[in-house]
Amino acid sequence: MKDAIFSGEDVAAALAAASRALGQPVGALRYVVLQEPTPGRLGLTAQPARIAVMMDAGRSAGSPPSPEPEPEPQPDLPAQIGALGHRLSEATGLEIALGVAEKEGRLEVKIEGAGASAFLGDEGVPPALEHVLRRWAERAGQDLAVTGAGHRERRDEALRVRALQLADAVRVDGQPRRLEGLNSYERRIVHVALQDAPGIETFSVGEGTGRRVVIAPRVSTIED
Amino acid sequence: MKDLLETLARGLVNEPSCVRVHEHEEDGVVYLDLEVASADRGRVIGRGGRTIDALRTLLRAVGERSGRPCEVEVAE
Repeated sequence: MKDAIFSGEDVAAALAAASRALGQPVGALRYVVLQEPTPGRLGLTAQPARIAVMMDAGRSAGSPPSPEPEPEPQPDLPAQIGALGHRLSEATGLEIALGVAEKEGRLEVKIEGAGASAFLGDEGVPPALEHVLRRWAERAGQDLAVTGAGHRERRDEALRVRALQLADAVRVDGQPRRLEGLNSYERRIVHVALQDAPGIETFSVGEGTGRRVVIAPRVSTIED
Repeated sequence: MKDLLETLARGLVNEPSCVRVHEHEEDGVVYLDLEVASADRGRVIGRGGRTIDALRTLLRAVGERSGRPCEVEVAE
């Protein structure tokens, strides 16, 4: 399989371009949004929408499309996460459990058990586990965060420190900074960390997975 | 480790029944070949390879704990 990249003023325009180029109706295209369009604001350059159209090997442009099969039913997400905890425990020989609770509309997965600290000791493991579980949650249309053994607390603090450092840089050169993809919980950490920062404002641009936090000079500061 | 990778991958895809993991060992290293429906390959690889990198990180960490180094590949 290979992907073909198209761009446009918005996702619909990018799809229309793909449809014309590939000779297939828009409804037959299987695609992922690489980048939502963002408006130009406060010195930021407007970004077009970019999509990657997936093309099955052996299916050439213009041939009849084969629709993607309907997703198979999956067990409910908390049950899946609990089962994953058992698998992790079996595979590592450590006492590990994944507890799931819903808090403010978001699933919180807590890594529990006497072996949690040992498993999370490798610094790459917590973000890797969180990345995979977030992809699981996205399929179920839910937001999710992983906590346990101080992982979340350390990560939140690192994000606060980074937000403050970026705000310092914005004050120095007056150029806004756009952060990488953060979920709603993490975006809120940035907004709260900088809500009283002198000469700085924060706002979010884009939609869905393309939503980004921007740290920018406060407009009144520019006018002064 | 095979069962763990299958569990992780099934939660990522639209067709979990098509997920297979083929395991073989060579020079003390466990190789896990992950097979998914062609339409699900992008889901297990992820944007910029981030999802397959995360799977590799988890399986390597588990492999280290069990004394069996582990490598993961997505089967063609």
